[in-house]
Amino acid sequence: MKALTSKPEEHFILTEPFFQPLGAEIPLFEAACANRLPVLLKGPTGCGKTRFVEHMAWRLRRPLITVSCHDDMTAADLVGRFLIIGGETVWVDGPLARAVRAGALCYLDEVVEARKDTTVVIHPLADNRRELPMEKRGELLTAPPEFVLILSYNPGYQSILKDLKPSTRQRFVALEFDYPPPELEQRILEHETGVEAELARRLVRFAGMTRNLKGSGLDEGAGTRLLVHAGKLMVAGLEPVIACRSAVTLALTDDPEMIAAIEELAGSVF
Amino acid sequence: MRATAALTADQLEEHLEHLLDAALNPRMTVTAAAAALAGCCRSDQDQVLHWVGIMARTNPQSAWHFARQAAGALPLLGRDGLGRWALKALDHFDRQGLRAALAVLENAPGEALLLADDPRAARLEDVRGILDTFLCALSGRRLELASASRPCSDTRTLYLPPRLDLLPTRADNELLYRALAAFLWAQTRCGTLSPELAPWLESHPEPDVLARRYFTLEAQRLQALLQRLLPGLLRRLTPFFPMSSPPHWAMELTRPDADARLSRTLAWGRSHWEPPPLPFWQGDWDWRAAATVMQRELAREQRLLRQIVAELFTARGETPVRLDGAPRLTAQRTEHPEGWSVTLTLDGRPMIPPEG
Repeated sequence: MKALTSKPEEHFILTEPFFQPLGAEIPLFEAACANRLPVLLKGPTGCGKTRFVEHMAWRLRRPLITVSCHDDMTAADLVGRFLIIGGETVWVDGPLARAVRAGALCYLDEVVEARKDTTVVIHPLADNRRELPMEKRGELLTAPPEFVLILSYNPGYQSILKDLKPSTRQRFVALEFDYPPPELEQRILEHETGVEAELARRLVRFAGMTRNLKGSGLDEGAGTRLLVHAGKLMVAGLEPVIACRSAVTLALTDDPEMIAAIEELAGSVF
Repeated sequence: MRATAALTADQLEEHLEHLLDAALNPRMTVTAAAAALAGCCRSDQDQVLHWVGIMARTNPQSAWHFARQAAGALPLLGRDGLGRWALKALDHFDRQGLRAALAVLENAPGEALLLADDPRAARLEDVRGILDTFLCALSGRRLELASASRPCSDTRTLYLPPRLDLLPTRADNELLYRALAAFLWAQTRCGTLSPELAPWLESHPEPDVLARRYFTLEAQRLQALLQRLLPGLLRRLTPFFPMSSPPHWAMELTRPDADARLSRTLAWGRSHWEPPPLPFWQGDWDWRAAATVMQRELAREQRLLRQIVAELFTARGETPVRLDGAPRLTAQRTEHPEGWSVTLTLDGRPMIPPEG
C-alpha cells in the first residue's frame, strides 16, 4: 500500500501579496502562531480575509494550503482517503493532513459551509492536543509547531443552521475584518488595478451605497474584491457603468428591480 | 375552435364563484358582478376573469372587489389598462395591505386619468421600487415616498408628483424623478431642514421672504454637493436643466466644507437680493411641515430616552428618574493632552450611554 503526499514547497508564496493592515491583525496573527493558537477570521465576503492569510504565509515563510469549504465537504475530504490506482490501494492525504505533515498554514475558507462531521477533525487540531486523527489509517498525526489552523466565516449571511458552534469558535483567537475605510480602500484599488484616483474614489463611493442596501434587498454589499474586478475592467478600457454592471451589480443580485436600482446608482456616481 | 360568444350571467357567475370561492359569503356574492360583466364582449370577459384569477391567488377579497368594479372600469381603462390597474392594486396589497389595494380598486376613474398620459410620461408608481432602493442606498435607511403635486420633503417623507412629463422621453422623466429624489434627500440629509431652521425663520419679520432666499442659496450648495457625490446623475440632467452658479458673493457655497449656516448668514444679510426661481428638479420647500415633523420626532425621541433612562434606574434597583420633565442628564467635556472625553452623569451619577 502506498501513500501519496504533496510537496510542501509547492505551497510557498514567493512574492509579497499586497495587504494594508487596518489594525493590529499582523502582530496578533504572529503572536497566535508563536503560541500555537488557531485563528478564526470573521468578516464580510471580499473584504481581504484570504489576502491576509496569503500575506501572512509569505511573511512567515510557511506553505499555505487553502480549502474552499462547500456543503458536500466531509471530514474524509479534509483528512484523505484510499484510492485504487493501477490496481493498487493508495492512501491520498487530504489537504488538512498535508498541511499538518508539512507544518503549513491550513486555511479553511467559509468553514460553516462544510458538513458538521468536519468538527471531528477540527476540534482536536484546534485545542492543546493539536492532533489529527486519521481513523481509516489508524494513525494519529501530531501537528508540528509550525502548523497553524485558520478558519474563516461570514457572520453576516450564515443561517442559524450553519452558524459556527460555540464549542468550535471558543477554540480560536478571533480576528474581525471589515471593509476598509474609504481612503484605504481607494488606495487598495489604485494599487491592485492601476485605476486612476478619481475613478477609484467613485468606485468606493458606489460600493458604500451598495453596502447601505444590506438587509434591504441585498445580503451583502459590494466587497473590495468586486471593486478590484470592476477597476480592472475599467483599466482594460470598459466604460465604468458597463464594468460595474458585470463586475458588481450582477454579482450581487438576480432581482431585476434591484439590478435596475444599482445600475442607476452606478450611472449616478460615474 | 375557441368560442367567441359572450358568456351569460349564469356562466359568469359560475366562473366567478369558482375563482372567488374563498371570499364569498351571503353578503359578498358574485351575482351583481356577473350581471354587469354579461354586457361585455367575450374578450373583455376573458380578460376580467384572467385578472380575477390572478388576484384571487394573492388575495380573494381584493379579487372580489376587482370583479365587482371591472365592468364599469373597462370603458375607462381599456383592456390593457385593466391589467395595469389590477397589478397596481396587487402591488399596493403587497406593500401596504388590503386597505391600500381597495383604495386603488375604488378609484378606477383616477387610474384612467393616469393611464391616459402620453407615452413620454413617467409615473411614480412605476418608478417607486427603484427610487426606494436608490434612496436607501444613498442614506442607509428607508425614506418614505408619497405622491403630491408639489415636490418637497418634510424630513421623514419625500413628496413627489404622481407623474412627470416635462422631458421628451419616459427615460428622461424617470431620470427627473431620481434627480428630484436625490435633491430632496440632500435637503434632509445635509442640514437644509434642521431643527433650528423654523425658529430662525420666525425670528425674521417676513419668514417666507427669508425662506425663499435661504432655500435658493441652499439649492446652490446642494447642487455643488450632488455634483461631487453623483456627477453622472447631474451630467445627464444638464442638457435639460443647465446648472446655474451662485451669485459672486455666495461662491463659498460650492466649497465642500460649506454648510447650511453659511446659507443662513448670507440669506439674512442680503435683504435686497431677489432670488431667481428654482429649476424644477430642485423641488420646492415646506419648512413649516418639516418643523412640525421634526418637533414630533424630537418629542418621540425624548420620550424614548426618558423610558430608557427610567429602565436603567429600575435595573439598578433605584428610584426611577422624574418623569414630569427632562432627566437630570449632564455632559462634562474634559480636555486631555491627547484629545478630549465626555463624562455623562444622570442625577449626579456617572452613566454609560444606552445603546442605540
